[in-house]
Amino acid sequence: MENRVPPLKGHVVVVNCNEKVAAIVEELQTGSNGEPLDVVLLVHDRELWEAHPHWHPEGGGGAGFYTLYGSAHDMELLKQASIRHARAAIILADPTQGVLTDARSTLAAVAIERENPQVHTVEELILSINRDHLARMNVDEVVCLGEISEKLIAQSCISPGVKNVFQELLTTRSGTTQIFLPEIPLSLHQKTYREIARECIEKGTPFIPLGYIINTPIPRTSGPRKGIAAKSVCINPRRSAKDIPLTGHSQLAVMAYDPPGDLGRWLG
Amino acid sequence: MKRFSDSRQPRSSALATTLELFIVACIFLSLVLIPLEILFPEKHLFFWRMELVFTAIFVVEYVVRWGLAEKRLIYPFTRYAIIDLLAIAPTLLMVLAEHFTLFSVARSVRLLRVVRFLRLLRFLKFLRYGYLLYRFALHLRIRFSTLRDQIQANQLEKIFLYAFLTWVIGANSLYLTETHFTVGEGAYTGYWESYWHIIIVLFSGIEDKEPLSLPGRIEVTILLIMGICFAGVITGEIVSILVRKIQRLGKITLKPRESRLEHHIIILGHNKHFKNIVRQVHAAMGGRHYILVVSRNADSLEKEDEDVYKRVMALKGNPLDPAILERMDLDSASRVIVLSSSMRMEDNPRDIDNRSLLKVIAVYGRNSTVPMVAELQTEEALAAAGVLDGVEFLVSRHFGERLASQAVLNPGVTTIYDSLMTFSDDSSEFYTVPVPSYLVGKTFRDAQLHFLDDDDEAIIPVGIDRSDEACPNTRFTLCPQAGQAGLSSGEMVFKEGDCLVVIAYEQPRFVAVSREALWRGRELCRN
Repeated sequence: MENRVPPLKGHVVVVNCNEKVAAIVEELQTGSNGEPLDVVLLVHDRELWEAHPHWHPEGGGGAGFYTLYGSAHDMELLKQASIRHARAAIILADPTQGVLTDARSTLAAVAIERENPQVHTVEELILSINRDHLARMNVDEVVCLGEISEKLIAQSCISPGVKNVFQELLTTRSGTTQIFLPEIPLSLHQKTYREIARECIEKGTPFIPLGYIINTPIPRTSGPRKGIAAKSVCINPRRSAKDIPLTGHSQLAVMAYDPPGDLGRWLG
Repeated sequence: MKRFSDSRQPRSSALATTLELFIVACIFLSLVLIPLEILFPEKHLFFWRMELVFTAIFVVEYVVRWGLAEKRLIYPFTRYAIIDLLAIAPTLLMVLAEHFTLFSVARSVRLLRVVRFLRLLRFLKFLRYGYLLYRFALHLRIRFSTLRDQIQANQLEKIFLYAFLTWVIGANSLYLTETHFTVGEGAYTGYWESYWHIIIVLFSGIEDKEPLSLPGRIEVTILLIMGICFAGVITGEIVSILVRKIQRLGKITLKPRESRLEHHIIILGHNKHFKNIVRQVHAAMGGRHYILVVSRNADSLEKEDEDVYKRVMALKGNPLDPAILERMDLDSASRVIVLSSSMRMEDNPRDIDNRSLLKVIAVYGRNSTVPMVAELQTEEALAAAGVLDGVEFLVSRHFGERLASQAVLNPGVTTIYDSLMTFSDDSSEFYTVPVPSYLVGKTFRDAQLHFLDDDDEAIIPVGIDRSDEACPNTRFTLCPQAGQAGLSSGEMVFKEGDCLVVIAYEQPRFVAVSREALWRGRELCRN
C-alpha cells in the first residue's frame, strides 16, 4: 500500500472505504480477466480506515494499491488519482453517513464524471428508491446491495441452489464462467441473433450467446459530456426478437470462461 | 431413491387449468345425472341427451390428451387413460346397444342397468384433478376461517346461542306459568304465540301483550332486562368488529388461530428487504401460494399492494417461541426464508447473525426437510452454518462486491445480472430442470440447436447439472462445450437423471410435475 501515486493509466479509482474494499481489490487484481489492475483508494476518514485493518486488501497480483486521503469532491485529489486516465471508478457507500449516504456518493460520482466523462462509474446504492436519480446523473452502473439480497433470497426460495450459479458467474477466478459483452464486429452487421447463435453452436465456439444489447447513441451536445446511449437489453430473445438484424453499436451478451475478444475471429 | 416418480404429467398453463376446472364440473354434473334418472324417470330423454353431451366432451378430452401425449403408442395403457376410457365406455355401449342389433344382448334391461351404474366409475377421473381440487378446497377453508376470525364468529355464536336459549326457555316458561295461573285466554296461553311475544320482548323491548299473572309479569320483567343486555352486547360486538376492521385497514391479514396453512412459504423476521421479497415471490408464484410472515411486529405490517398481499398472512410473535413455531404449520410448509432482523439499534452484525442462526436451528429441529434460505451478514457465521445440510445461506455483501468488480471488468453487465435475478413477465431466470426424454442420449449441442429453433418457448441451455437431487446446483458445469474448461465430449452426452441449467422466462413446459413432490409441497405450484 503506497501513499504517493505515480501517474497511472487504465486503473480503477475506488472512492470511500468500507468492508467491501478488500474483496473488490482482490477481484480486480487476481481475477482471470486480463491483466491485474492498479487501484487507487480515496479515503475521506483516515481514522476509520486505520481502525479497520481487516478492510485493507492483501497485496498481490503484481498490481499496485495506493491510498490517498481526502474528499472525492476535491478536484486536486482526483487529479492526483489520475482520474482522467482511469478506466473506471467505484463509489462505495460511506459507512459514516448512514442510510442517506447515497447523496454523498452521487455527488462524488458527479465530480468524477465532470473530470472525466469517459470514465465508467459504478456506484454502490443503499436505497433502491434512489436508482432513478442516479441514472439521471449519468452514473453508468449501480449496484444496490439491498436489491441483490432481496432478489437472491427470492431466487433461492423458488429455485434452491440457484445462488451457486450466480456465485460462479460473478467470480473472476480462473476456471469459472462470466458474462461478457463483446461488440458486434462489422463482419456480423445485419446478422440476426438467431443466425449468430446458430453459427456459434455449429462452429463450437467457447461461449454461449445469451442475448444482445442495442445501444442507440444520442448526438453529443456542446461540451465535454459523453454521448449517452439508450440501451435496449434483450436476454433470451423470444420469437421475433431472435430475427432482428444487429448492427454497429450492438453488443452480444455471452457466457464464457474467458473474454471472447473480437467475435470476428470466431464467426463471420 | 429413484429420481423421478412415475406419476408425472406435463405442466399446465392458466388456460389449461381453466379447462381442467371445466372438465371437473362436467364430471360432477354427469354423476349427478345418475340418481336424477332414477328419481325422475319421466325426464329420461332430457337426462339422456345431457349424458350424450357430457360423453362427447369426455371423448374430445380423451382424444386431445392422446394426441398431445409424449408416447402415443403407450398412452392408452396408462392409468389415467384407462380411467378416462372407463368413464366413457358405458355410455358408448348404451349408444351402440340402441343402434346395433349385434349388441342385442346388451339391450336386456338388467344389463343396461348395470352398465348405467358403471358410469359411476367417472368418480375415478377426480384422481387426475386431485391436486387442483385440493388447492381449491384449501383456499376456501382458509378464506372461511379468516372471515370467521375477522367477525369474531366464536363470540357472536355464543351470544346468539345464549339469546336463542333464553328465548326458548322464556317462551316455554311464560306459557307454563300463564296456563297454570290464569283462567281464560291470554297472550301467553297459546304455545307458539308465546314464542312470538317473547322474541318481541327480548329484541325490541316493547311489551305490548302483558301477562295476566303476577309470576308471568315478573318473568317478562326479567326477560326485558335480559333483552336490553343482549342488545347491548350484540351492539358492542358488532362495533368492536367494525373498529377492529378499521384498525386493520391496510394491514396484512392476521393468521387465524384455528386455520392451518399448507404448502405455504414462511418468512421469519422482518427487515427492509421484506416488501421486495414478497413482491418477487408473488411475481414468481403468481400468488398461488400463501406467504406467512412471522415477527414481533407482524401485526403492524402494512399491505403495499392489495393484489400482491392477497395471500400474505401475519403471525405476531417471537419466531423462537415454541408456541409460535407450532402455529407456523412448519410440517406442511413448502419453503422457509429467514431474514436478518435486529431488535435494537446497537445490534452488531454478529448479534444479528446469531439470531438468524437460532431461527434456522429452531426450524431445522422441527422440520429438517423443508428447503430453507437464510440471510447472513458475516462470513464468519457462514462458515459456522455450513454444517446444516439442505439450508442455503446468503451473505449478500459477497455478491455485491463481485458485482461491483464485474461492472468494472465488463461494463454494462449489471443490467444483465439484474434481469436474470428478477422475477417478472419480461425477464428470464435460471432454472435447473431434468433433461427431457427426447434429449437423453443426445449432446449439449443438440439441445442448443433444438431450443434455438423452438419459437414456442424461449429457452437457452447454459449448463449441465449432475448434482444429487437433494442438493441441486452443487455439481454443475456452465458452458460445458468450452473445450478444456468445459466437459469432455463424452461427458456432454445427456444421461437419464441429468439436469439442464437453462435461462427461461418461466419453468419450461416440458418439465413434468412430480405428483408426489406437489402433494408433499416440495414442488411449488406456479400455474
